[in-house]
Amino acid sequence: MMESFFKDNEEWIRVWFSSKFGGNTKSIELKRYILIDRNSGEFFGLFQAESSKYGKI
Amino acid sequence: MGKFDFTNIFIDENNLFVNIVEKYFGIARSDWKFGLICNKKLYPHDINRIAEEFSSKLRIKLKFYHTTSTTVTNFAYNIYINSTLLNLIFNKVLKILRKEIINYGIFEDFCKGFIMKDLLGDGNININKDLTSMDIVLSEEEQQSQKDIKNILAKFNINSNIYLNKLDISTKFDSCMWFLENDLFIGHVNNRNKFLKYISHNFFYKY
Repeated sequence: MMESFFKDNEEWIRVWFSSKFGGNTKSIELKRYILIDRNSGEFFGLFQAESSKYGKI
Repeated sequence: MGKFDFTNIFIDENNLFVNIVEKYFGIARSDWKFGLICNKKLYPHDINRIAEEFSSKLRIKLKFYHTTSTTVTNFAYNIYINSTLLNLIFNKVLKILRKEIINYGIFEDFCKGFIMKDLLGDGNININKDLTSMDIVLSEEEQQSQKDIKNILAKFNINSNIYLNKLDISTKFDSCMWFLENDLFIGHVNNRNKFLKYISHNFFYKY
């Protein structure tokens, strides 16, 4: 589930997720839009190389 | 289960990662924790010193663990946020961007940043003794990732070939100049030196 909201004149999203087995759901908040530039490219390059890859949505 | 994490031996790359996550996605610095993966030869007082230095530079609270590993030469930093959801979201976004970004000409800077940092993390350079041959190799096990990265490189007219769990990347003059312009392996002293040695020996001449 996801809902959008405004904080400091910027659009954010709040996301919930629960596994099929139920249990506690935790929400997280993220900025709704990101710049696609060299910095975000570098972030995803680092993420590609050095972060854990789990499961699927 | 899962967590959103990043493991790297360079403080600056960890700092960059945390800064971008904070600025671009709005995730607070205070949400991060970190650990150290250490070679068993390291003494406890060294581990404490390394952890304090890292904590002070990145302004991440000193709430760390350490584990020993025989595959780590010295030590590596492991920063993480305990959130399976965050991991799933970033993995999903990564897959979409990696596949779709090549269809949009205006996002070349993103692609350059992506390739340079992916190579910094998982790339390696081999040169022979007389400096006449160089291999730029990217380790990548996942097949879809291999295809996407090959396509991104092709966007810049750089050929690459997939062999099992790696990409062998072109070292032709044009490719090397593109990598030079885009700061290949800056931050990785050993690979950067090998790269500069090769291009200065093969592509620059003294009169």
